[in-house]
Amino acid sequence: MDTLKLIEGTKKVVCRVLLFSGRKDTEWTIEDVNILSRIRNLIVQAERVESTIKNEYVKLGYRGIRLEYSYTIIEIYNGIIRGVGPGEQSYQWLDKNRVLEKIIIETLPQKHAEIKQLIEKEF
Amino acid sequence: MKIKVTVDIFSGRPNPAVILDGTKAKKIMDQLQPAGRFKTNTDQHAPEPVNLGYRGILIEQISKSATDLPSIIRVTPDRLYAGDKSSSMEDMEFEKNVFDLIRDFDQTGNKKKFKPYLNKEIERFRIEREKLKLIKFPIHKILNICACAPPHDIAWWNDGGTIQHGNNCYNYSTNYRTNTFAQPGRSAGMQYTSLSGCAVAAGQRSAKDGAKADCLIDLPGANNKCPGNGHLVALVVAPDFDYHWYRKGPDGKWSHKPGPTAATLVDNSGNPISDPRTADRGPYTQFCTFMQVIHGHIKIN
Repeated sequence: MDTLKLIEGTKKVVCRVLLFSGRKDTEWTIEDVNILSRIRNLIVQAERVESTIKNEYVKLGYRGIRLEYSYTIIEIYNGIIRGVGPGEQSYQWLDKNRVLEKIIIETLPQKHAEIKQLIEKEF
Repeated sequence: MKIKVTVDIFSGRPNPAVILDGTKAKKIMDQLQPAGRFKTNTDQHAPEPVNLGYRGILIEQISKSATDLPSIIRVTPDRLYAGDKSSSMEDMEFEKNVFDLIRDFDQTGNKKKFKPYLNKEIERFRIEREKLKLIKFPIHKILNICACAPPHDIAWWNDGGTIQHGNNCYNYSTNYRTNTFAQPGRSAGMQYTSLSGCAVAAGQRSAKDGAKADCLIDLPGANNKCPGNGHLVALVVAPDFDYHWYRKGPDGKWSHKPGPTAATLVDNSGNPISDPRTADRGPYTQFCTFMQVIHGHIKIN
Protein backbone atom coordinates (compact mmCIF):
# COMPACT_ATOMS: atom_id res chain seq x y z
CA MET A 1 0.00 0.00 0.00
CA ASP A 2 1.24 3.47 -0.82
CA THR A 3 2.23 5.40 2.26
CA LEU A 4 0.56 8.36 0.57
CA LYS A 5 -2.82 6.73 1.00
CA LEU A 6 -2.58 7.07 4.77
CA ILE A 7 -4.01 10.52 4.22
CA GLU A 8 -7.43 8.93 3.72
CA GLY A 9 -8.11 8.83 7.45
CA THR A 10 -6.38 12.01 8.54
CA LYS A 11 -8.19 15.11 9.75
CA LYS A 12 -5.21 17.42 9.89
CA VAL A 13 -2.21 18.09 7.64
CA VAL A 14 0.82 20.07 8.72
CA CYS A 15 2.30 22.06 5.84
CA ARG A 16 5.67 23.74 5.50
CA VAL A 17 7.10 25.87 2.72
CA LEU A 18 10.59 24.66 1.82
CA LEU A 19 12.23 28.00 1.22
CA PHE A 20 14.73 29.00 3.87
CA SER A 21 18.04 27.48 4.84
CA GLY A 22 18.99 29.01 8.17
CA ARG A 23 15.64 30.22 9.47
CA LYS A 24 12.79 27.87 10.26
CA ASP A 25 10.42 27.61 7.36
CA THR A 26 6.86 28.87 7.51
CA GLU A 27 4.52 26.21 8.89
CA TRP A 28 0.74 26.03 9.08
CA THR A 29 -2.01 23.47 9.48
CA ILE A 30 -4.90 22.58 7.20
CA GLU A 31 -8.00 21.35 8.97
CA ASP A 32 -10.71 22.70 6.68
CA VAL A 33 -12.72 19.62 5.69
CA ASN A 34 -13.39 20.78 2.14
CA ILE A 35 -9.77 21.61 1.35
CA LEU A 36 -8.61 18.41 3.03
CA SER A 37 -11.03 16.47 0.89
CA ARG A 38 -9.60 18.00 -2.32
CA ILE A 39 -6.06 17.30 -1.19
CA ARG A 40 -6.98 13.72 -0.24
CA ASN A 41 -8.57 13.09 -3.60
CA LEU A 42 -5.56 14.41 -5.50
CA ILE A 43 -3.14 12.39 -3.42
CA VAL A 44 -4.97 9.05 -3.55
CA GLN A 45 -5.47 9.40 -7.28
CA ALA A 46 -1.86 10.41 -7.98
CA GLU A 47 -0.07 8.23 -10.51
CA ARG A 48 2.90 6.36 -9.12
CA VAL A 49 6.16 6.49 -11.09
CA GLU A 50 9.70 5.20 -10.64
CA SER A 51 11.89 7.46 -8.56
CA THR A 52 14.44 9.63 -10.29
CA ILE A 53 17.01 11.65 -8.44
CA LYS A 54 16.81 15.27 -9.46
CA ASN A 55 19.14 17.96 -8.28
CA GLU A 56 16.32 20.48 -8.37
CA TYR A 57 15.08 19.23 -5.00
CA VAL A 58 18.40 20.05 -3.37
CA LYS A 59 19.02 23.72 -3.95
CA LEU A 60 18.77 27.10 -2.31
CA GLY A 61 15.50 28.99 -2.61
CA TYR A 62 11.99 27.58 -3.07
CA ARG A 63 12.01 23.77 -3.01
CA GLY A 64 8.33 22.98 -2.71
CA ILE A 65 5.87 22.17 0.06
CA ARG A 66 6.26 19.55 2.75
CA LEU A 67 3.22 17.80 4.17
CA GLU A 68 3.18 15.77 7.35
CA TYR A 69 0.31 13.50 8.32
CA SER A 70 -0.09 10.10 9.98
CA TYR A 71 3.69 9.73 10.44
CA THR A 72 4.18 10.29 6.72
CA ILE A 73 6.30 13.07 5.23
CA ILE A 74 5.91 13.99 1.58
CA GLU A 75 7.24 16.85 -0.50
CA ILE A 76 5.50 18.33 -3.49
CA TYR A 77 7.46 20.32 -6.04
CA ASN A 78 7.29 21.00 -9.74
CA GLY A 79 4.89 18.21 -10.64
CA ILE A 80 6.32 15.52 -8.40
CA ILE A 81 5.19 14.17 -5.05
CA ARG A 82 7.98 12.43 -3.15
CA GLY A 83 8.11 10.42 0.03
CA VAL A 84 11.04 11.79 2.03
CA GLY A 85 10.93 9.88 5.31
CA PRO A 86 13.32 7.00 6.02
CA GLY A 87 12.60 4.13 3.63
CA GLU A 88 10.03 6.14 1.67
CA GLN A 89 12.22 7.42 -1.10
CA SER A 90 11.83 4.63 -3.66
CA TYR A 91 8.71 5.91 -5.42
CA GLN A 92 7.29 9.17 -6.60
CA TRP A 93 3.87 10.27 -7.74
CA LEU A 94 2.81 12.81 -10.33
CA ASP A 95 1.20 16.13 -9.45
CA LYS A 96 -0.15 16.98 -12.87
CA ASN A 97 0.00 20.71 -13.69
CA ARG A 98 1.18 21.30 -10.13
CA VAL A 99 -2.47 21.40 -9.05
CA LEU A 100 -1.87 19.96 -5.60
CA GLU A 101 1.07 22.26 -4.95
CA LYS A 102 -1.00 25.31 -5.92
CA ILE A 103 -3.98 24.30 -3.78
CA ILE A 104 -1.78 23.96 -0.74
CA ILE A 105 -0.05 27.29 -1.35
CA GLU A 106 -3.47 28.93 -1.57
CA THR A 107 -4.11 27.89 2.02
CA LEU A 108 -1.15 29.88 3.34
CA PRO A 109 -2.49 32.13 6.09
CA GLN A 110 -2.77 35.84 5.26
CA LYS A 111 0.00 36.75 7.69
CA HIS A 112 2.42 34.95 5.36
CA ALA A 113 1.37 36.93 2.28
CA GLU A 114 4.96 37.97 1.66
CA ILE A 115 6.08 34.33 1.47
CA LYS A 116 3.17 33.54 -0.83
CA GLN A 117 4.23 36.32 -3.19
CA LEU A 118 7.76 34.97 -3.29
CA ILE A 119 6.58 31.44 -4.11
CA GLU A 120 4.12 32.52 -6.75
CA LYS A 121 7.02 33.88 -8.81
CA GLU A 122 7.97 30.24 -9.31
CA PHE A 123 4.81 29.41 -11.25
CA MET B 1 65.60 23.33 45.65
CA LYS B 2 62.60 21.11 45.05
CA ILE B 3 61.53 19.75 41.68
CA LYS B 4 58.81 17.50 40.36
CA VAL B 5 59.87 15.03 37.68
CA THR B 6 57.09 13.51 35.57
CA VAL B 7 57.31 10.88 32.87
CA ASP B 8 54.73 12.14 30.34
CA ILE B 9 53.38 8.89 28.93
CA PHE B 10 49.77 8.28 29.93
CA SER B 11 46.60 9.93 28.69
CA GLY B 12 43.83 8.97 31.11
CA ARG B 13 45.80 7.85 34.17
CA PRO B 14 47.96 10.30 36.14
CA ASN B 15 51.54 10.19 34.88
CA PRO B 16 54.33 8.61 36.97
CA ALA B 17 56.00 11.36 39.00
CA VAL B 18 58.41 11.95 41.83
CA ILE B 19 59.31 14.98 43.89
CA LEU B 20 63.03 15.43 44.51
CA ASP B 21 64.88 17.87 46.67
CA GLY B 22 68.39 18.47 47.93
CA THR B 23 71.25 16.88 46.09
CA LYS B 24 69.04 14.68 43.93
CA ALA B 25 67.19 17.70 42.59
CA LYS B 26 70.40 19.64 42.08
CA LYS B 27 71.96 16.75 40.18
CA ILE B 28 69.03 16.65 37.78
CA MET B 29 69.05 20.40 37.24
CA ASP B 30 72.81 20.45 36.70
CA GLN B 31 72.39 17.93 33.90
CA LEU B 32 69.73 20.03 32.27
CA GLN B 33 71.91 22.19 30.09
CA PRO B 34 70.41 23.67 26.95
CA ALA B 35 72.79 23.94 24.03
CA GLY B 36 71.59 27.47 23.34
CA ARG B 37 69.01 29.96 24.54
CA PHE B 38 65.30 29.24 24.28
CA LYS B 39 63.76 30.59 21.09
CA THR B 40 60.23 30.52 19.69
CA ASN B 41 59.80 27.07 18.26
CA THR B 42 59.15 27.31 14.53
CA ASP B 43 60.87 24.10 13.46
CA GLN B 44 58.07 21.94 12.07
CA HIS B 45 60.39 18.96 12.09
CA ALA B 46 60.64 19.08 15.85
CA PRO B 47 57.34 20.34 17.28
CA GLU B 48 56.56 19.86 20.96
CA PRO B 49 55.31 16.26 21.20
CA VAL B 50 51.56 15.89 21.47
CA ASN B 51 51.35 12.20 20.51
CA LEU B 52 49.81 9.36 22.47
CA GLY B 53 52.40 7.35 24.36
CA TYR B 54 55.75 8.62 25.60
CA ARG B 55 56.16 12.38 25.14
CA GLY B 56 59.25 13.15 27.22
CA ILE B 57 60.04 14.12 30.80
CA LEU B 58 58.55 17.16 32.50
CA ILE B 59 60.74 18.99 35.00
CA GLU B 60 58.92 21.46 37.21
CA GLN B 61 60.78 23.67 39.64
CA ILE B 62 58.45 23.75 42.61
CA SER B 63 60.39 26.02 44.92
CA LYS B 64 63.38 28.22 45.02
CA SER B 65 64.20 28.40 41.37
CA ALA B 66 67.96 28.49 41.48
CA THR B 67 68.49 28.51 37.75
CA ASP B 68 67.71 30.78 34.82
CA LEU B 69 65.75 27.97 33.23
CA PRO B 70 61.96 28.20 32.73
CA SER B 71 59.95 26.83 35.66
CA ILE B 72 58.46 23.96 33.57
CA ILE B 73 60.50 22.21 30.90
CA ARG B 74 59.73 19.22 28.71
CA VAL B 75 62.82 17.16 28.00
CA THR B 76 63.02 14.98 24.89
CA PRO B 77 66.12 13.16 23.63
CA ASP B 78 67.34 16.08 21.59
CA ARG B 79 65.35 19.13 22.60
CA LEU B 80 63.95 21.07 25.54
CA TYR B 81 60.54 22.75 25.36
CA ALA B 82 59.07 25.53 27.51
CA GLY B 83 55.79 27.09 26.46
CA ASP B 84 56.13 28.05 22.81
CA LYS B 85 59.92 28.13 23.02
CA SER B 86 62.51 25.42 22.66
CA SER B 87 66.22 24.79 22.69
CA SER B 88 68.36 21.91 21.51
CA MET B 89 70.09 19.79 24.12
CA GLU B 90 73.31 17.84 23.95
CA ASP B 91 73.17 15.56 26.97
CA MET B 92 71.74 12.34 25.55
CA GLU B 93 72.18 10.63 28.93
CA PHE B 94 69.66 12.78 30.71
CA GLU B 95 66.69 10.48 30.16
CA LYS B 96 68.69 7.45 31.22
CA ASN B 97 69.74 9.15 34.45
CA VAL B 98 66.13 9.99 35.23
CA PHE B 99 64.96 6.48 34.49
CA ASP B 100 67.58 5.13 36.88
CA LEU B 101 65.39 6.73 39.56
CA ILE B 102 62.21 5.08 38.33
CA ARG B 103 61.85 2.98 41.48
CA ASP B 104 61.15 6.24 43.34
CA PHE B 105 58.29 7.28 41.03
CA ASP B 106 54.66 7.09 42.11
CA GLN B 107 51.80 6.04 39.82
CA THR B 108 53.80 3.70 37.63
CA GLY B 109 51.54 0.76 38.49
CA ASN B 110 53.38 -2.54 38.46
CA LYS B 111 57.03 -1.45 38.16
CA LYS B 112 58.16 -4.73 36.60
CA LYS B 113 55.68 -4.24 33.80
CA PHE B 114 56.17 -0.49 33.55
CA LYS B 115 59.92 -0.56 32.83
CA PRO B 116 59.73 -2.63 29.63
CA TYR B 117 56.65 -0.66 28.57
CA LEU B 118 58.55 2.58 29.03
CA ASN B 119 61.60 1.31 27.11
CA LYS B 120 59.40 0.21 24.23
CA GLU B 121 57.62 3.55 24.19
CA ILE B 122 60.87 5.51 24.20
CA GLU B 123 62.10 3.54 21.21
CA ARG B 124 58.83 4.13 19.36
CA PHE B 125 59.03 7.83 20.19
CA ARG B 126 62.57 8.11 18.79
CA ILE B 127 61.56 6.37 15.54
CA GLU B 128 58.51 8.60 15.10
CA ARG B 129 60.57 11.76 15.69
CA GLU B 130 63.14 10.64 13.14
CA LYS B 131 60.37 10.06 10.59
CA LEU B 132 59.13 13.59 11.22
CA LYS B 133 62.48 14.98 10.11
CA LEU B 134 61.99 13.40 6.68
CA ILE B 135 58.64 15.09 6.01
CA LYS B 136 58.63 18.07 3.69
CA PHE B 137 56.51 20.89 5.08
CA PRO B 138 54.00 22.34 4.69
CA ILE B 139 52.03 19.18 3.88
CA HIS B 140 48.71 20.95 3.20
CA LYS B 141 50.32 23.08 0.49
CA ILE B 142 51.84 20.07 -1.25
CA LEU B 143 48.61 18.08 -1.28
CA ASN B 144 46.38 21.14 -1.61
CA ILE B 145 44.04 19.97 1.11
CA CYS B 146 42.50 21.31 4.27
CA ALA B 147 43.82 18.70 6.62
CA CYS B 148 41.79 19.80 9.64
CA ALA B 149 38.45 20.12 7.84
CA PRO B 150 35.75 17.53 8.47
CA PRO B 151 34.90 15.24 5.54
CA HIS B 152 31.71 16.19 3.71
CA ASP B 153 29.99 13.09 5.12
CA ILE B 154 26.70 14.01 3.47
CA ALA B 155 25.19 10.51 3.61
CA TRP B 156 25.30 10.67 7.39
CA TRP B 157 23.43 13.97 7.48
CA ASN B 158 20.93 12.90 4.78
CA ASP B 159 19.19 10.19 6.80
CA GLY B 160 15.70 11.32 5.81
CA GLY B 161 14.88 11.50 9.52
CA THR B 162 15.85 13.38 12.64
CA ILE B 163 19.37 14.27 11.60
CA GLN B 164 18.40 15.66 8.23
CA HIS B 165 15.24 17.47 9.27
CA GLY B 166 16.41 18.73 12.66
CA ASN B 167 19.65 20.29 11.45
CA ASN B 168 20.15 23.21 9.08
CA CYS B 169 22.96 24.91 7.19
CA TYR B 170 24.46 26.30 10.42
CA ASN B 171 24.58 22.82 12.00
CA TYR B 172 26.10 21.29 8.91
CA SER B 173 28.66 24.00 8.26
CA THR B 174 29.92 23.94 11.83
CA ASN B 175 29.72 20.12 11.82
CA TYR B 176 27.72 20.35 15.03
CA ARG B 177 24.52 18.37 15.27
CA THR B 178 21.99 19.75 17.74
CA ASN B 179 18.68 18.55 16.22
CA THR B 180 17.35 22.02 17.08
CA PHE B 181 17.78 23.84 13.75
CA ALA B 182 20.51 25.92 15.36
CA GLN B 183 20.46 29.70 15.01
CA PRO B 184 23.55 31.94 15.11
CA GLY B 185 23.95 33.41 18.59
CA ARG B 186 21.06 31.55 20.22
CA SER B 187 23.34 29.42 22.37
CA ALA B 188 25.02 32.55 23.73
CA GLY B 189 21.73 34.42 24.22
CA MET B 190 22.78 36.73 21.36
CA GLN B 191 20.72 35.52 18.42
CA TYR B 192 20.65 37.76 15.34
CA THR B 193 17.87 40.34 15.28
CA SER B 194 18.07 41.39 11.64
CA LEU B 195 18.67 39.68 8.31
CA SER B 196 18.53 42.87 6.27
CA GLY B 197 21.98 42.12 4.91
CA CYS B 198 25.53 41.28 5.91
CA ALA B 199 25.72 44.57 7.77
CA VAL B 200 22.74 45.65 9.83
CA ALA B 201 21.57 48.88 11.41
CA ALA B 202 23.11 50.11 14.64
CA GLY B 203 21.53 48.42 17.62
CA GLN B 204 20.69 45.31 15.58
CA ARG B 205 22.59 42.01 15.51
CA SER B 206 23.47 40.34 12.21
CA ALA B 207 23.86 36.61 11.59
CA LYS B 208 27.61 37.16 11.70
CA ASP B 209 27.34 38.87 15.10
CA GLY B 210 25.38 35.86 16.34
CA ALA B 211 27.97 33.45 15.00
CA LYS B 212 30.76 35.40 16.68
CA ALA B 213 28.85 35.11 19.95
CA ASP B 214 28.91 31.33 19.39
CA CYS B 215 32.72 31.61 19.16
CA LEU B 216 33.13 31.35 15.39
CA ILE B 217 36.01 33.58 14.32
CA ASP B 218 35.52 36.16 11.60
CA LEU B 219 38.12 35.80 8.84
CA PRO B 220 37.06 38.31 6.20
CA GLY B 221 40.47 38.11 4.56
CA ALA B 222 40.64 34.31 4.41
CA ASN B 223 40.24 34.46 0.65
CA ASN B 224 39.09 30.82 0.44
CA LYS B 225 42.27 29.56 2.18
CA CYS B 226 42.10 26.94 4.92
CA PRO B 227 42.85 28.22 8.39
CA GLY B 228 45.73 26.54 10.22
CA ASN B 229 43.35 25.19 12.82
CA GLY B 230 39.77 23.97 12.47
CA HIS B 231 37.90 24.58 9.24
CA LEU B 232 36.54 27.37 7.08
CA VAL B 233 32.87 28.25 6.69
CA ALA B 234 31.21 30.98 4.66
CA LEU B 235 28.15 33.11 5.43
CA VAL B 236 25.79 34.47 2.78
CA VAL B 237 22.51 36.33 3.10
CA ALA B 238 19.23 36.55 1.19
CA PRO B 239 18.53 40.15 2.25
CA ASP B 240 15.51 40.51 4.54
CA PHE B 241 14.71 36.80 4.39
CA ASP B 242 17.37 34.35 5.43
CA TYR B 243 21.02 33.48 5.79
CA HIS B 244 22.97 30.43 4.62
CA TRP B 245 26.28 28.72 5.41
CA TYR B 246 28.80 26.64 3.43
CA ARG B 247 31.72 24.60 4.73
CA LYS B 248 35.05 23.81 3.11
CA GLY B 249 36.02 20.14 3.13
CA PRO B 250 39.39 18.40 3.32
CA ASP B 251 39.51 18.21 -0.48
CA GLY B 252 39.23 21.99 -0.73
CA LYS B 253 35.70 21.80 -2.16
CA TRP B 254 32.66 23.28 -0.44
CA SER B 255 29.40 21.64 0.59
CA HIS B 256 26.21 22.89 2.21
CA LYS B 257 22.80 21.90 3.52
CA PRO B 258 19.77 23.99 2.54
CA GLY B 259 17.68 23.95 5.72
CA PRO B 260 16.04 20.56 6.33
CA THR B 261 16.85 19.54 2.77
CA ALA B 262 19.65 17.09 2.07
CA ALA B 263 23.27 18.26 2.23
CA THR B 264 24.90 18.57 -1.16
CA LEU B 265 28.24 19.06 -2.87
CA VAL B 266 26.87 21.22 -5.68
CA ASP B 267 25.45 24.71 -6.13
CA ASN B 268 22.09 25.74 -7.62
CA SER B 269 23.45 25.13 -11.12
CA GLY B 270 24.58 21.63 -10.20
CA ASN B 271 28.27 22.53 -10.24
CA PRO B 272 30.87 21.56 -7.61
CA ILE B 273 31.68 24.54 -5.40
CA SER B 274 35.29 25.66 -5.43
CA ASP B 275 34.52 29.09 -4.00
CA PRO B 276 31.18 30.12 -2.45
CA ARG B 277 31.77 33.71 -3.57
CA THR B 278 31.31 32.65 -7.17
CA ALA B 279 28.85 29.76 -6.73
CA ASP B 280 25.23 29.95 -7.91
CA ARG B 281 23.58 30.79 -4.60
CA GLY B 282 20.01 31.44 -5.76
CA PRO B 283 18.45 34.17 -3.64
CA TYR B 284 21.41 34.40 -1.24
CA THR B 285 22.93 37.25 -3.18
CA GLN B 286 25.15 38.82 -0.52
CA PHE B 287 28.42 37.15 0.36
CA CYS B 288 29.23 38.25 3.91
CA THR B 289 32.41 36.67 5.14
CA PHE B 290 34.53 33.62 5.74
CA MET B 291 34.70 32.38 9.33
CA GLN B 292 36.82 29.87 11.20
CA VAL B 293 35.36 27.02 13.24
CA ILE B 294 37.76 25.63 15.80
CA HIS B 295 36.49 22.22 16.80
CA GLY B 296 35.57 22.10 20.46
CA HIS B 297 35.54 25.88 20.89
CA ILE B 298 32.15 26.70 19.46
CA LYS B 299 28.75 26.16 21.09
CA ILE B 300 25.61 26.41 19.01
CA ASN B 301 21.96 25.68 19.59
